[in-house]
Amino acid sequence: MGQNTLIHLTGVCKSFTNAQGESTGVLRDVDIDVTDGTLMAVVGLNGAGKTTLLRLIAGMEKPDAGEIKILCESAQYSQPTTGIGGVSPQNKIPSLNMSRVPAVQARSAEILSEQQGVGGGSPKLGYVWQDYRSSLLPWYDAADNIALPLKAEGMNRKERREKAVELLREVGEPFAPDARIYNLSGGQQQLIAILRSVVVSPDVMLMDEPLSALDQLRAWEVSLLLEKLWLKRKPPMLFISHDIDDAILLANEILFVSKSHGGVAARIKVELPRPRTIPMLASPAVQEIRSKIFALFDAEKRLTTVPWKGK
Amino acid sequence: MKRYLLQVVLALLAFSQVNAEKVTLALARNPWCGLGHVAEAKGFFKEEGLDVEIQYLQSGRHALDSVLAGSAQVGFIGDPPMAFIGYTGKKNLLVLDVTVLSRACAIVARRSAGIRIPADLRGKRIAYSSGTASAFFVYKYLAKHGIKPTEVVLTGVQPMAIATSVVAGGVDAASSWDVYISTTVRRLGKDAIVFHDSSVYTAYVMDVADRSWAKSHPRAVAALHRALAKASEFVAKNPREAKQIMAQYCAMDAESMEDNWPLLDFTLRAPEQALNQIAQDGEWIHNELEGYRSKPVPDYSMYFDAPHEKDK
Amino acid sequence: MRKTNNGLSVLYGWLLVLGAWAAVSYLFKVNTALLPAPHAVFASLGDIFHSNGFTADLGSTLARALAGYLIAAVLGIVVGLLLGSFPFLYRMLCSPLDFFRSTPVTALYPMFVLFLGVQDMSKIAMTAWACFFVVAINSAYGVFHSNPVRTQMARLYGCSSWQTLRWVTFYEALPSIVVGLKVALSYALIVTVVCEMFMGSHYGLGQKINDSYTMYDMPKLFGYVFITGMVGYLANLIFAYFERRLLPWVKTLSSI
Repeated sequence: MGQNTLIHLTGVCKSFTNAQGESTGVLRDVDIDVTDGTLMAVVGLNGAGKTTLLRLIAGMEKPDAGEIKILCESAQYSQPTTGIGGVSPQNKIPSLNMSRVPAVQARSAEILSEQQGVGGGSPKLGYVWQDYRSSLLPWYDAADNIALPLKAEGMNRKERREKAVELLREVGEPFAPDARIYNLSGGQQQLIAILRSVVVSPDVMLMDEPLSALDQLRAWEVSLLLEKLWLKRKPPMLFISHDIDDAILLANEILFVSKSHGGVAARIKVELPRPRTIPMLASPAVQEIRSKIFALFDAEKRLTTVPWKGK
Repeated sequence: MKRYLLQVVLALLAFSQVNAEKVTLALARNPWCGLGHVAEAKGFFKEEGLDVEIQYLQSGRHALDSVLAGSAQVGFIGDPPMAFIGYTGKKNLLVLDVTVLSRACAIVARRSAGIRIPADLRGKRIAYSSGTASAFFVYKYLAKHGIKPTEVVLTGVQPMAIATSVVAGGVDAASSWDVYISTTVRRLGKDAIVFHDSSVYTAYVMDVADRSWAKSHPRAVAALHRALAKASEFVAKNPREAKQIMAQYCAMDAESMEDNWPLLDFTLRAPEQALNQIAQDGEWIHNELEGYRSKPVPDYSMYFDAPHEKDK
Repeated sequence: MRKTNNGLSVLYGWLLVLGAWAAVSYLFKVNTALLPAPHAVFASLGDIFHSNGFTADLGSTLARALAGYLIAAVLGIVVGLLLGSFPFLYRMLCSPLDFFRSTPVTALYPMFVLFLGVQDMSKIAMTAWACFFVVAINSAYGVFHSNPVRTQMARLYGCSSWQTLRWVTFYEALPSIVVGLKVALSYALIVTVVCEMFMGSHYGLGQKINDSYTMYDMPKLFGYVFITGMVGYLANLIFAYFERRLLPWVKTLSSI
């Protein structure tokens, strides 16, 4: 409902300690503002910090330094500053001993639970995980998965299933609401994750490679569907994409996260009319944007040694 | 001449040492195996030229298992296991002697369970150890006082657990024998009441050998008999020392040993004297225990030598 | 076609076992005081089924095993989920838990007899004790190995800790919990029968096994052991059937 939402990052730094105990800086001094009406695609090399950025905004990670604020009419949410460069990761976060999964769980849970809203309530988030499979609940059917955020709010079963079915109808009912998750294809599962992220009309939408499991055609279809859903309230939305065309088709701004830079290298505006169409991808304006992005990637190649680092 | 004689005698002695018969004897740590303990303690086995290795087992029934399996040649075994084994048709056993008659079976009960007289046992929970003398005793004792097995709740319990089961209150009474009865009485103190009745059942403990071994080692059998006879004499003539030895081997205190002494008869008897008792047991099993009615009562004389078969 | 093949193979397996037994008994004339012949055992089975106390024996053993099992299952799942959810609790208790789990429960039997006597209570308690640790530890592992993304997801979408536990963590841990329950099922029967043999009882399969042993009735001993084995086998079959229906989303399920 046009809540004048603002995602505000100042001086955000984040680094991780790998298994050898070495500290790898991922983000350095990130300053961004993302307002209502921004549909932002986040592109960059693997390991550049795209997912980290999303996770920081979502509250699943704490920055080592800097401030992250989400302000919207109904709530103001901020993560406290932990001092610039002063506090090392080890002090704030229990060591990531992966053989002790409980610690990891507890940590994330801790962080999420600290979303204390000033002025009542915390902002509603929608997040689509890159590993969509792990984010779905196979013991519930498709509709129950989509309606999970509503269940957490306390809505009764009938109503929330109705909402889920409504959403499914909007996207053309690609499968039955009572379908079992494990019987669906990857693309269908990803769709469930996407629908779940929009079912509560979130204040902020964050998506980590939502189109990765889809073939080209389906990817375009879902992109246009996402646009349709976004157009309703136009919350600030960030999505990570490895496909430049997908990014350009959907976004009105492209954020290039640079590995060598450790932060935002460029913000490229995509000024194409909405609603978008596939033929637009052939237009000269799009070509221009593409060349800019290619140049950025090229520069990256020269500046970094690009060792293979899985995210 | 004298020197040669001496040498011959020494040689013979050495020869007998080298050729000492090896025997594995299965005993329980129980006054019922008293003659065995005494013979070992006083060296009577060695004197008779026997190199005896004693296997200490939990009960006569385990001793029988050992003899059947061949890990012991002779064992001290009570009449109940002999009666039961008869039903399996196993013939390879030979009863050598009767080593003790025991009237030490009894029922110990808690007064606090409302038991003052035998008739009070009706309707109570009574522990016993199946397949042993305690089983025979409890059934026969109850029968004597007109109580049917169905009128009580009989719970099978391992002998070692008898005392605890009564003391901890899981059962109201237990049928067992000397060692365990004494332990229970001591732990219950004033709450204990004991029912003896030697007319109801007397246990016979025999030394029983593997028949084929006995037939091929007549000298060892005879030596064994002599050693036990010596032990029996010793017990009769030196009761105090005998009690000490048995108490030590059975890990019993002197008091319990004293209490049980009058109930134990350590006269070594001819094996045939046990035949009657075993046959009676066999009949009783046939009549009283479920599942045995279809089986014929065995002829227990298979475990004894006919008089003309006896050597020496 | 595939199904019949599997059925036949199972049949062949059993025939092989029977054949070996018969061969050993009839051809090699093994001591019947140790290994009775098949026909004797089958005959004794008939006797057993017709005996007076059979239903009572079977019923008692089943009742005790089931009681102990259910107590252990409920307590084990609750404690396991708690331990899994609170790592500091687990770190504190995991060493004593492992210790008690490793101590053979039959070694503790004197203590149980001392505290609870030789009645049903001590047998049920021993069974529950033995099964509890299996279920609790497996449940805790279930929580540990649950996918952190799902828990994160639930929290992000506004689920409270309690809601997360009920809607996500519990189901995540369920496959491990089921493994624990399955192991505990066999364990329950084993411990109950052993208890009955050692502690004694009025009715019970373990008691009858012990009686057959003390009275040298080998065919009956084998008969009762066979029946006990069948009970355990059937229990596992039933469990496997429900397991498949309970966890349709778990790909790796045991087959029978």
